[in-house]
Amino acid sequence: MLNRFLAQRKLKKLLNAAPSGALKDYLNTPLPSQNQSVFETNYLALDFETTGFDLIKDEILSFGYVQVSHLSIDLKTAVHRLVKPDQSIPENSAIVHHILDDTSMQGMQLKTVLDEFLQLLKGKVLIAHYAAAESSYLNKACQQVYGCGIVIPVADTLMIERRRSRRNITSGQQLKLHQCCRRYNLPKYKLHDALNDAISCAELFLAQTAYWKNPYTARISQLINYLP
Amino acid sequence: MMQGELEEIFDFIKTVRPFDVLPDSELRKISKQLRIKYFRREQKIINIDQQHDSLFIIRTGAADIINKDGELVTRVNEKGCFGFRAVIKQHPSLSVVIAHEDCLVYVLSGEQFRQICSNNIDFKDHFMMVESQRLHKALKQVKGHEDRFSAQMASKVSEIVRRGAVFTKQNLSISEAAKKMASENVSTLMVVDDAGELIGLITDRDLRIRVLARNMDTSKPVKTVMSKKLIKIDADTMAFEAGLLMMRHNIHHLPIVADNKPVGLISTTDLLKLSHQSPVYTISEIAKANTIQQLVDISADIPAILSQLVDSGLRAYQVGQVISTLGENINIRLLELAELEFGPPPVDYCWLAAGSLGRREQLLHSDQDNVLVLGNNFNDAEHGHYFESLTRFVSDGLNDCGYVYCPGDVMATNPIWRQPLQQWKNYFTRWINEPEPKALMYCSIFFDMRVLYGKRKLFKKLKKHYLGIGKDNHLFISNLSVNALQNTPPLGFFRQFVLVTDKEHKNLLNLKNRGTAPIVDLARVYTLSASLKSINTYQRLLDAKSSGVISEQAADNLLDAYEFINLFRMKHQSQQIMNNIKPDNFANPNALSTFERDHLRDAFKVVSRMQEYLAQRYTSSHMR
Repeated sequence: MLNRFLAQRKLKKLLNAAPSGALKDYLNTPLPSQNQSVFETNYLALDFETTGFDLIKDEILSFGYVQVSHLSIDLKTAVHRLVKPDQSIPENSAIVHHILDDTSMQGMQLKTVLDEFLQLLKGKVLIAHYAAAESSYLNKACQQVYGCGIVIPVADTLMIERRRSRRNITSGQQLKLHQCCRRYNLPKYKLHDALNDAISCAELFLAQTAYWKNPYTARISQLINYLP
Repeated sequence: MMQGELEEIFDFIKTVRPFDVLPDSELRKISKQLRIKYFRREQKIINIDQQHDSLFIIRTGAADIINKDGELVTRVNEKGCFGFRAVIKQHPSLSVVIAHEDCLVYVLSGEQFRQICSNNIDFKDHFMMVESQRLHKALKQVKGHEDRFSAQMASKVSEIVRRGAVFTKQNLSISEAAKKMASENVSTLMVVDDAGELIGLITDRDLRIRVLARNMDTSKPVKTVMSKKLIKIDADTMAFEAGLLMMRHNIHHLPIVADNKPVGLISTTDLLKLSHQSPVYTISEIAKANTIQQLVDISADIPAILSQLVDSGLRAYQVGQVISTLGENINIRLLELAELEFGPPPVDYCWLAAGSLGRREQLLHSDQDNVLVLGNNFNDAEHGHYFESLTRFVSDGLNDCGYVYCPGDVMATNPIWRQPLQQWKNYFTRWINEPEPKALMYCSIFFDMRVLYGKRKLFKKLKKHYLGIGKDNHLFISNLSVNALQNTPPLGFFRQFVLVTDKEHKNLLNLKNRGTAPIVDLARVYTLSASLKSINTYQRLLDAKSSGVISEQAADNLLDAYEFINLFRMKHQSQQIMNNIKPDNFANPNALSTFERDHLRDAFKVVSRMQEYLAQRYTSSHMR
């Protein structure tokens, strides 16, 4: 976890190493201003499905993301992309995500998906539930594709929830995305694919901010970190 | 390329009225046009005078719409929409909307909304139609939906009848007719005239009594011995209605006609075969019961029968008729048993049902309202004891069967309501001419009376008496109107539901006193003001329409409202039965679907409007 100063420094370093293309464009775009309000900030809520939980071994199977602006989720911008993985999908994770080898073979090249995603992420804050995972996988994917890492400003709904209710929450179970959503009277989706979870996560973020400070005056710097 | 599927959003929107009328392809497009917003409890969603130009759909939570004066207009729940008035007219919001609970809301832009409206008339209608139109449409929808589940009792007689019509020409000889009956192996033969139209019936019994016992010449034409008093039904009649008719007239065969030409014959056995839990079967069981306990056991089936009838998609008034017929037969059987117990009556009497049973619109959880009219030769010292015992026996029996004692003591066990004809005439004369509040309350009970058992002539004389003095009695009608306006629909000035406040049913909706009762009261005033004889609320409204007391449109709207509220009430009771809860008339407004809530509201609105008209029409004379 970096502060803004370290993040800026790392960004500069990465920019020098990055090949021209989507990643360089991203790194070249200034980070969202510290002074802008929570309301005026643009966000991109993201969720991945991966082949497993091991950052070294496992790969991204699908991206689901949707944009949030003026604290409202714009479903027009909802995107769901399957990625063609290098390795075949281990049986146990396929059961969770219902993505079988056949369907994922119809997926797109990781680079194509990343290019499109980074283009959108420019100037936005990433929303994710337990963003350490999302940012690490993204970082690894960037290194794989562009030979260079990344720095992302993130609003982590899990961290926000933990901070908000430090005293009340006793088990990690209660911090799971769907448990959090339930506490805010948010809908429960039946299907847990990357897109539905990204939408759930964005909804949780809206709920958290509604219960936080005045979004027109509260600064975004109070909500975000820089990862990985 | 894989686009965002948004399947979950689509699935949800599909269940929101009126989005459910749109084709799937359109709904998928709409799902992608939505924005999602979140409002915490008590947060303002729309401000007054705000130009929001959006339609809001509640995904989770509830929101309150509050007018300029700070009054709650309505509460919108999950799957409910708001903001459409401002969007349609493209003017600033006239109300404030505040989240009543934490809300997740889908927002559709005004532009998109208007585009859907312009492409889909049904969708637009939902927002534009006045409540009576919307109600009529909803009713058609409910029925269309349930027709698919239509059970056998709701099937047409022409579909049940097993063989074609066996008939003969009127001029055929009696012996030829008998031969035909033998060769066709039927006990009833239909007789037609030269045009082929049904004019009579001849049965085994007719041959026995009118021919053999009288040594009649069998070469005479069959028309000389046939029964000419014909009860027949149309081929389109529903099976259960045929059953009702047979029960009411105590007949076992009913000719079916199409354009008055015989097409078949339906028997009680045909109906019995349909279902063992059919009301027809139950009625035959009631008639066979020899003890109160047996009747109690049979009554225990009535809730299941109601449930079944509701499921089979019958109209509300038909269900009411069946349940009433069962109640009626229990009354009759109890009286028969009482006469067996105490011996034949010393003077003529007739047993009348008032209230919902009188109107043939009884449902479950209804109390008993009954009275006794005695012959004028009744002498209390001599005969009083007999009738006291008889009425006690029947009233206790009814209570045991679930028709609980009337809390207002309008029962034949009360000596006030067990009087000779002359005294009853005096009662009515007094009520009509001196309409004090209590008298008017009695009028609303006693103008709905019907004979269940005994000497019908007694009641006929009484009815003639009171219809005569009530006719053209403007003061009486206007007083009755005032009385009829006391139960108002449970709708506040701004269309929110008005809920019960007493402890036992707190925050529930009273479907009887404030749902159906106002319509029943209206219908009574209409018929009495024109001296019409009908008692059943449907019939009263139809008669009021054909006699011009109210406009055709007004009558149709009230009929729709009555049907919808009653249907809902029945479904509510049926649901309670299924969940092993004692059926009642109190619904939880939060458990209503959006469809039900919207249309109940429309139905109540129709009733409110008719009450306003009535108030202007009749009660003005009362004021003068």
